[in-house]
Amino acid sequence: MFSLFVHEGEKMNKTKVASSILLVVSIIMILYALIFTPADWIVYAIAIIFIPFFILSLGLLTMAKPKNDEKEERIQEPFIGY
Amino acid sequence: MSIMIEKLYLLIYLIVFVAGAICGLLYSYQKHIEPYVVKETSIPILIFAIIGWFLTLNYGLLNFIPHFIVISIGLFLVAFVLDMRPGYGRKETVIGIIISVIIWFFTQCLFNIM
Amino acid sequence: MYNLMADILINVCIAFLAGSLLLGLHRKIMARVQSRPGPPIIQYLLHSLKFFFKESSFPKTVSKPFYLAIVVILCGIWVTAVIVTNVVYGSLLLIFGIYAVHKIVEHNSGSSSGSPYGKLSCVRAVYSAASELPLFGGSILVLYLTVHTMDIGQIISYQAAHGPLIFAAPLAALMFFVTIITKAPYSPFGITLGKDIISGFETEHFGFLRGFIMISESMCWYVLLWLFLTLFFGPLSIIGYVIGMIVITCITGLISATTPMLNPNHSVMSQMTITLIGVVGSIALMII
Repeated sequence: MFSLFVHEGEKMNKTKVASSILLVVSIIMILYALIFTPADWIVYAIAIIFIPFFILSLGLLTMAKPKNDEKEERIQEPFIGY
Repeated sequence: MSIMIEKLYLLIYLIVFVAGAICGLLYSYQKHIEPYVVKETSIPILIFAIIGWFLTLNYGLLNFIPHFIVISIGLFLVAFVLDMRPGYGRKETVIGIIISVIIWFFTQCLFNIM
Repeated sequence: MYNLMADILINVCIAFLAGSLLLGLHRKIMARVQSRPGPPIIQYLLHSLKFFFKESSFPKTVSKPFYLAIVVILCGIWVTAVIVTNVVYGSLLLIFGIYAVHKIVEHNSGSSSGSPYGKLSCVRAVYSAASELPLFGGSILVLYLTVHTMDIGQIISYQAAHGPLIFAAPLAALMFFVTIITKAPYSPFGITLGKDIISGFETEHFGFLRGFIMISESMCWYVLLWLFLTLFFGPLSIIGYVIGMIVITCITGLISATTPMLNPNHSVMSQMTITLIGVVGSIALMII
């Protein structure tokens, strides 16, 4: 019972951990470009890559979680109801 | 650099507009329970509209306060009235615009004559 | 002291907020034309934020990296477009490339999710890309033939010296304006998002990913309107841009409210006809 709970927790946490790391990395890179004003092309690259990743990671962390009994349905059989 | 400052002001005006719109929406949904049916002009909202449009269009008349604060307050009040529950702020907005434009015309003519 | 990253961040935020407010205004104008009160002007912004916090699950038929990457690429290209137009005043060829990648993203969003509705929209998006890219490209080509440069900064200086380009290249302006109409919601050329396929290529990107797509689309609207005003009406002040964008949004709202949605064949043929008239007509006007 306890091991099942831990396994569920680990699967969910993979997305959360990846998104948190991405969020922290994006914020650090954007702040680096803001504070240290590197060469122009570096600033463009940071802006183009890390602004979308910032929004993506923020969204993945803050999005609502489905109820466990509905989750299976939505992943396995997505076209019911059309 | 000056373009960046102008853009910063524009961003602040946009944020203030959105904030005013959200406040107007919250207020009007609390106050008006039904969709727009009864056609009456509400006096406090009319005053908000007139002050808001006056401050936005005629900010030059109030020289003792920095322009960007005047326009921000004006835009907040404009958005408050403009973005009420659909159908409600219309007459007040139109009256506010007409009065502000008339005042603007008169002050421009006065300055041109002087 | 000038800070490039701060400039980029301010411009991206302005693009997102102004684009959302303008798209909300578009919907309001459509409603008023149809004698309805319509939603509040900030409705588009509220929807984007509402969707952003909703659940987004990954159906088993999606290819997950592709499904997520497509949405990130859409945001990345329009952030690039904001940088190329508002910050650097760079080359129009980059904007054409960004528009082409946008068409590819529309096509691939449909195919990344494995949904039958998305796949149908994906096929329609191929049609629409085949007709909209020549339209936009034709407009840029005629502009190049008129001013002999693709650089936005140099086009602005040209207009400061010779007057607005809408008088010198009116057919290019028409083609660009039709491109803007194709990007408008509920436009006559919007068959890729027709109601018969629910919401086309956006059907399977729901929840937070839909909110993300809406944010990128609002930046797209702002950039296209900014480009139209800059390329054809010369150097403008901020008030000029605000008024110009509101006027263009009102006109596209009127057009979207009163026109039917054309089927793929009619949509392609009308856009190709406008491209042909625009390019051939402009070249003829230059020779005569």
